[in-house]
Amino acid sequence: MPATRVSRWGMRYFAVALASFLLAQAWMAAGLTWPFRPLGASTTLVAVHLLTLGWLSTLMLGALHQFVPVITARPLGSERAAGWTLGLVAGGLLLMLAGFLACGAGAWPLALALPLGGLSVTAGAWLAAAQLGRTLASARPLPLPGRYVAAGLLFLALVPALGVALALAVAAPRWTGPAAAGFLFARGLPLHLLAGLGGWFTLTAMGVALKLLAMFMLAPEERGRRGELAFALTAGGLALAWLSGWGGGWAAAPEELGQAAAAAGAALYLADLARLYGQRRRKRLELNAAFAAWALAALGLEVLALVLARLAGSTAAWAPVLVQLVLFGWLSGLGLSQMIKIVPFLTWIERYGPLMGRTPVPRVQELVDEGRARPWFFVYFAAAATGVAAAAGLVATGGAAAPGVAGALLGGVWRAAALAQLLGAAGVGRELLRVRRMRPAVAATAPSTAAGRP
Amino acid sequence: MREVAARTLRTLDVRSDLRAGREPLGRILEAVRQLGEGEGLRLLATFEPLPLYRVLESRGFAHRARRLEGGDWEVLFLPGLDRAEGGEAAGGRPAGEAEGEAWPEPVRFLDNRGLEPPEPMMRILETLEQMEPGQVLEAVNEREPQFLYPELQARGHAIRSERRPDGVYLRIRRGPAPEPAAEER
Repeated sequence: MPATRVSRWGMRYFAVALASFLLAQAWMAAGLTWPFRPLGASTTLVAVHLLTLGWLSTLMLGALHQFVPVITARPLGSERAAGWTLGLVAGGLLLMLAGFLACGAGAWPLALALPLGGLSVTAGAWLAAAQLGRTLASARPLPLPGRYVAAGLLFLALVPALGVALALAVAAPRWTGPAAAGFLFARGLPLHLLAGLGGWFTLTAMGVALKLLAMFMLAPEERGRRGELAFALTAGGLALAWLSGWGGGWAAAPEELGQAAAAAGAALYLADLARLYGQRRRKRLELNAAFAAWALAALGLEVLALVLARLAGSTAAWAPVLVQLVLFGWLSGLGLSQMIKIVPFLTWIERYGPLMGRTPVPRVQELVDEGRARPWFFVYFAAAATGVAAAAGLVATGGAAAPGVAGALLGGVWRAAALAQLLGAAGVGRELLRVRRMRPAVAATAPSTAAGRP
Repeated sequence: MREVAARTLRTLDVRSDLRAGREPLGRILEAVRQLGEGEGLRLLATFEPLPLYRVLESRGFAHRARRLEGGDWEVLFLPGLDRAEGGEAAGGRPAGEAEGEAWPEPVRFLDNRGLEPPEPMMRILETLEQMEPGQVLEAVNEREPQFLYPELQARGHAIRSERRPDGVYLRIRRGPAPEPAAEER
């Protein structure tokens, strides 16, 4: 009989993730990243990896260890592997951060901490991809959300391995040689970004969003032909773009075709999710669904901006803005909005499952105060939008490269937005902590009978 | 499904019961008991009475449902369904039935479709606690109640589940002895 228990590791993943998120935003507010330092500066890379590895990867891995069994109706092979993955990824991240700072200071051989940390992260990611992938493979044919996640896991296997190659080129250029290093930076770096932000994060987030929104809003999870097409275009397009991205010259045409297919797929997906919101049977939107819509809107904006930048031939110049929008609007926005639902949900199952039916238990909605959490989401999303707008202003005016008065002003707005974003995220984090700490008096709560549905 | 000729139909309208919140199952089963040889039942209800299909299939009735204007349902229960074909008409026997052991007919039904998780789980566990050991509960859920299964195991209940186009059908047999209330995992 398929059975899913609340994973022992889920909350630890979430705690590591949230701590990394807050730290990264504090780092940004302190002015240690682009636009105050170069994009490739070691301190910028510290923030980027705190966000991508510490926050988003850890959050998604934690969520997948819990929800792959739900998607597939099959248990995971091993609970201990989830612990190993967390240790390898978090430990590897710490090494990497030290390595970045050592590289920036020219402190050889400490810089080797960067590729070593990368190896640790790769081991953790491969362990997770194998463990989750095996569970998914045993449940074929997979439902649509499961296929998104499986495709995301394939990219997860690629990202850190390519990262280790880049780390070697950064930390030990004498070993890799100038030719290989040059090739890695020219071709490998954009593909590291594409596989990470597009493949691993976005595909996985698309699948998880589809599953969770359908589940909690009571909307049909089967998305028909259009849903299938959206998946095939997005995942196939990303894979084609990634593979042909290594080529150059003759491979430019398939690369562009892949990018166009992925953009069209994401647009179709968004249109289908708009339809899913319309099909929902729970009319009142809870926080998670309400703010997931903002994150989905950010994804739409990202796709539009990518297409426009590509048509204008200025993708490289706008890259920091595009990355900021996808990281904070779409991925982090979705992550925060889903955490406010799944943390209370898992906490509730864990705490009250054994008591259910035997003694009155509170409703899951009583574990979280939506009214108190909502303003923090507004602060977070408004600040993220402001930050992206300031970044766009900096690129448009050339302010990041040569700060004049306008540049200084925009830079100030950008930092203030980072600080406000940190506050918003911390506010949501405090609500989550409250959920974990809250112990409503069981007997004092109104009994919830089988007939007593809202 | 085998074609069943409708001979005589008796009509039972339980819509007022349902609107008043009264459980109509007793009346329906009583009406079925009173049907003569070859007679069928025409049931009028405010929703499609899915859990009833299984119960009446096991008594040899096939069903035809249609939605009436205004959203109510008319369901014809027609006799002559071979018992051996009952499972086939329903798309297979409940999981685990092949293992041989026959379970008693369900005494309680829950339609949990349209409820947000974890409410289906709560309703099932609360209803089970009100039942006698050995009694069977039938529930229809939108999806596999993943988080329910370990709880059922911990409490010593047995479960059979079957996925059908209109939902996941669960039959849960209450464990043999009431367990201590303060059990912790």
